[in-house]
Amino acid sequence: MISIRNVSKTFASSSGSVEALKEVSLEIGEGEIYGVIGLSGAGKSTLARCINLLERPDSGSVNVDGMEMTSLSPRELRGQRRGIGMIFQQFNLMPSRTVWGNIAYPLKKAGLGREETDKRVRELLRLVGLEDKINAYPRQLSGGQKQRVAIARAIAVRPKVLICDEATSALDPATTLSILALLKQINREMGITMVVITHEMAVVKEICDRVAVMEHGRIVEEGSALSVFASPRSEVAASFVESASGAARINRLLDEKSPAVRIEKGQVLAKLTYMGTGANEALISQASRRFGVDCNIIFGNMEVVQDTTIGVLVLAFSGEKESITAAAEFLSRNNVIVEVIDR
Amino acid sequence: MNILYQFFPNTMDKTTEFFESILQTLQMTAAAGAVSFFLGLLFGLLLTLTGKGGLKENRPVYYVADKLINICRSIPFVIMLTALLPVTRAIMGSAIGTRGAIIPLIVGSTPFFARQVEAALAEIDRGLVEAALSMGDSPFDIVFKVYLREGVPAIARGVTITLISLVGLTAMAGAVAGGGLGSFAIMWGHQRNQTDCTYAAMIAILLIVFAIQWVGNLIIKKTTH
Repeated sequence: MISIRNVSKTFASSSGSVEALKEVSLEIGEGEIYGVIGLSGAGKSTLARCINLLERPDSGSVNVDGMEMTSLSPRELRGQRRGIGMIFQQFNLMPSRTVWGNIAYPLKKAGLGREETDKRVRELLRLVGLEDKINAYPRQLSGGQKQRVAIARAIAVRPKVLICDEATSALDPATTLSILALLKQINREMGITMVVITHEMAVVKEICDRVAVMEHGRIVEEGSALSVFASPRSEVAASFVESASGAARINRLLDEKSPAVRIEKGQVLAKLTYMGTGANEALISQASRRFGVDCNIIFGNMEVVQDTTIGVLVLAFSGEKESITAAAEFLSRNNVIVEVIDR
Repeated sequence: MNILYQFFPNTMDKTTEFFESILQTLQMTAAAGAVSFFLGLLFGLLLTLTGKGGLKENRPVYYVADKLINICRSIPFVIMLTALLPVTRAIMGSAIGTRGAIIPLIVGSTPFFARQVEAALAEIDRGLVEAALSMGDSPFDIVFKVYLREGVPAIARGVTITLISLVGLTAMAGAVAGGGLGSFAIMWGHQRNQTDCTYAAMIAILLIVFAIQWVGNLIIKKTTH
């Protein structure tokens, strides 16, 4: 659906030039929710703006739905932009227009009559759950409500792509979750391809199918949200995963040799990592029973990414040395990654 | 009425001239204001669109417009009145009276208003323009649907300030026989030492200014959501 090839963009400023994008390439499939995560200044927002050409890349190609964006005439580009919705961190609703007026804004260009426009606006308000706010002005709405109106406006003309530029960064965690749920619902029901720009791994974890990790204008890591979450390869990705996962805490405790992870003589401290189906089987209690070892759960954390569970358990095994080894082997055979931390 | 005769003896002697002066001031303000409104809006938009980061960024055009406005604004109005005499005569057919004052008034207030418009449009969140662009709007659409709509309260503020300063300029036009309340105050109050005429003119101007401010505030209040 979206194919970005070798896109570079440099901004000139008084204090020298800034290379916002360096030879960035990525492919986004139809109907996919694609995350782009990075710290501020990593170039992710510039990348998003290169998709609808709000920023024109210095070089490289941007292809959306089979159209090479960089070679379109201004008029063609405007037409193509109508097929690419966008929502923003600061919502960017028109303050002088009511909710109705804001959602009707793009419909006027689409050539809808007054009655059809009204019908469509009401339909969209029902979808985003704000029917009672039809005559309110943006100033009278909460952040979450504003973003709902912005979403309704962005999808009003049934675009094929929706760009979400830090769409939840100005919202509190609970509102963030409700907006993400709405986006996911829209993605499922309408099949809109979504590009989600964010600096929060929690957002990626919640809705993204695939994710690109950006740093200093480059994509340093790319893959399914699950694989990046389960085994990040780059340092930035690892730190993002850490920020969104409770499992990071255990690593700190282990590093600090906290009393919480201190073990007695004869015990073995191990970290178990498992994914997907493994979580549905009673592996730990099986191991315990079959090999006669006691398992004391010191720490546990579970994340659900793309409907797959990623679990981390830290256990203190006690029992015969051989039994512990056999239990560890049993777990390994069942796709659990066992790391012995201390013995 | 007796009190008026007591405090404004000379003014009450010539109420016809006084009311005519008020009318002339209003006429000059309205005529010059209307033309300045459109010209100022045009120049304000030109500055916004061609300025740095504007939708039609164009350094040379911005430079010329910017400097032209600065030059016009630096010339004191009284000097402008006389300097523009030939131009006024050519366009209006007369360089004196209310008609003669209108051209200098336009030249005097348009640059001021253009700056007001530029400032008003600069207040509009850049994100709104970006949102409009993302929805496939052309620069032309954005001028009418974003700038000239979202900018209404701030532009109304600019119009109010400009009109008030314009009333001040009309009074100065009295110096070159431009008519209006300024002329009235100079001719009677100053030159013939009938001080009460000066005060009467002053009070009339104050009332006009208050009225403009009141209407302006009303519009700003009605258009701010």
